[in-house]
Amino acid sequence: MVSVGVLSEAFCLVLEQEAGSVSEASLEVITELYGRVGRQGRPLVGIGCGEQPTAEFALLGEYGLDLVLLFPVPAGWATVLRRRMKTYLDRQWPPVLVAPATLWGEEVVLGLASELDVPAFSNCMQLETVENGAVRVERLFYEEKIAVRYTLAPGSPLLATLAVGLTNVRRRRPGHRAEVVCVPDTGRLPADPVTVLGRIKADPRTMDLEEADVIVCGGRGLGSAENFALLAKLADMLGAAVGGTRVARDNGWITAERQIGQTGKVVKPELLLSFGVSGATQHTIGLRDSRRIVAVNKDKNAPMMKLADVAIVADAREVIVELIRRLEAAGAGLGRRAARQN
Amino acid sequence: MLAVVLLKKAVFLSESALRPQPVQGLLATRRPFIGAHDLAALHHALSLREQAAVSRVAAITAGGSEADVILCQAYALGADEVFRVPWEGDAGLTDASPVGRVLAGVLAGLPAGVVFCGHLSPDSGRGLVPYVVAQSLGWPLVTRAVKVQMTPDLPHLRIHRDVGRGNREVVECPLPAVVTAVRYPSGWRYPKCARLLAFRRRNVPTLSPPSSPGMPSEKRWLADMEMTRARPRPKKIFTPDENLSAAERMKMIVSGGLKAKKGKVVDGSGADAASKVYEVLVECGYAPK
Ligand SMILES: Cc1cc2nc3c(=O)[nH]c(=O)nc-3n(C[C@H](O)[C@H](O)[C@H](O)COP(=O)(O)OP(=O)(O)OC[C@H]3O[C@@H](n4cnc5c(N)ncnc54)[C@H](O)[C@@H]3O)c2cc1C
Repeated sequence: MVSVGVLSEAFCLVLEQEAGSVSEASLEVITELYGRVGRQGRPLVGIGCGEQPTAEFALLGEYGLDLVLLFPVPAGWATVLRRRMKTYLDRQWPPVLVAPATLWGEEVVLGLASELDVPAFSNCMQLETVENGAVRVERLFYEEKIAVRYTLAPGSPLLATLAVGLTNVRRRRPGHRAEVVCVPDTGRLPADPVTVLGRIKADPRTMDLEEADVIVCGGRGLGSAENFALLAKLADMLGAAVGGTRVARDNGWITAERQIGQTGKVVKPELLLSFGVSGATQHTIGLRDSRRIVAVNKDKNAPMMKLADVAIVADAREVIVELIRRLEAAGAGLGRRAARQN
Repeated sequence: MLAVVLLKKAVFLSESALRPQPVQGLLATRRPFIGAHDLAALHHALSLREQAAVSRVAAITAGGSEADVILCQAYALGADEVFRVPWEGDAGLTDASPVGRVLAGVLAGLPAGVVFCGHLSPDSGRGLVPYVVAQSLGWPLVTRAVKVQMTPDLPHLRIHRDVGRGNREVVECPLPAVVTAVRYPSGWRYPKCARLLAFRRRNVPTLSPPSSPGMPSEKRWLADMEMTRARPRPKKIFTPDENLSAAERMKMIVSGGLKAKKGKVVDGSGADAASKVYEVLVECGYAPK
């Protein structure tokens, strides 16, 4: 059992929450911190938003957290969380407070640093402890040509955001559970003067493939630029982005920034529809984080079919044409995309 | 109403990073310019002036006289007034917070209704200055603006901000406010030669905060600061989980990190196959029933 008293020597991490769960970026930062300082016995404390000590927060113990403090703040309300943290942590401010270098992490950490008048280092590549327990962070400057390592003076607090996309998430302590403590509500806070009116979803035709929720991907099996035009039409109707294999790129059916794989993009869509792709390792390395895969291939034994949740043995073009027909009949298309935006 | 744009003298290292020379050699070859985010901030302010939402645009930078070149660019692009705040610290490597407080002190003495800043500077990019300015002035802050409009009825700004994955959030913010910009949607302006020449005939006025409290440097928090040539940024590549058996790890390497899922295999004509895909689309909410 860890007590809240450990805060004065803990490394604290502000957890980012997306759609009700802790984000991949936060898990990455926990993995990195555990590898660098948690293993040496420094307590790691997560700071999250929530009213109930759910099992999901306890499970963060497997990644390296010892304690999770839950503030009664709706996820995403950085200004309110900052104020609550300031009140709660006032008497036992942790020596190190970090967050993933995302919009959320930046709003919490940089906002706190400006309020407390302490230095903050954003987008750090590394955080480590050196001799006599001092903390050192490394940042890149001047188009990443120069690295600057800051070693903090003893007793200086550190606020930082850590770069994400550099570390693979690891469960380093299987079976371990973090203690979850709910911080009591300390009354009403003044409302944030900035009002959120709504969100506008990105246009999948122009958005970065790495950020797309749905991707339709084509390979050599599609056979021609005309079939890729059909694939683009299908993508448009689904509000999906178009990706392809190296062969598709070499044939000029897609542009370089649409290639998925080792020498292309690493994507993480909710749904990936793959047409006429064999599933070579160099391609699938870019699909690792896809949640659901549907593969259409003439060859039942193609490696891609073994990696798919639904594998369909059929001619790719025929399936695309039929899908477009059905979506048109069902009145999908741009209207559908607009519906998803709201 | 006055719109103020805070510009940083960003520097570009013109030598190749691959040349084996010491860091100091690299730093000696700095060329000043306005970073892309700062330029976007200036363009947002100028476009508010064109919509008659603000009457004048002032550009301010902090630094020595070498920072005047930035003000010259801002003046040539259309800023009505330019001011320099004398400053000797290093806003990039350490002193973002003190420079933010000095700028806030200057702004408090101006009739500014909105302050624009770039979100990050391309050289040091800590992004702290706008937070410090907003906090010191007690004004709301909206970051990562891509579109800024004045609302017709209230003196509020309606701002589209980039919230990642290409999505935008639309917010409304009362004035006065601090806004950081990441992009300007369209119609970049070009510097005007006549204004460049006019700038040469002027002396750049300086502004100092009414009471200079003597900002302590952030260096007081540091025991050491070491500068080296950067190693290439590591790329996250797949390595299998060390808790797995050797056989499982080999399998994962061969499949590029994807686990074989033993999913449903469906054999059939184009129409049957399409029905199956359509079912999945409906299940995931991407197609109507
Ligand atoms: C160093 C290196 C880096 C690489 N990097 C990448 C990378 O980043 N991304 C990448 O994609 N590749 C990369 N490759 C290439 C990779 O090895 C494969 O060659 C490539 O992914 C294969 O593309 P494909 O699946 O489109 O073509 P193929 O392997 O030729 O597969 C075509 C598939 O289509 C099926 N098919 C044929 N006709 C039909 C039809 N009518 N209907 C349905 N299915 C049909 C076939 O059964 C087959 O399975 C790299 C290779 C090297 C050496």
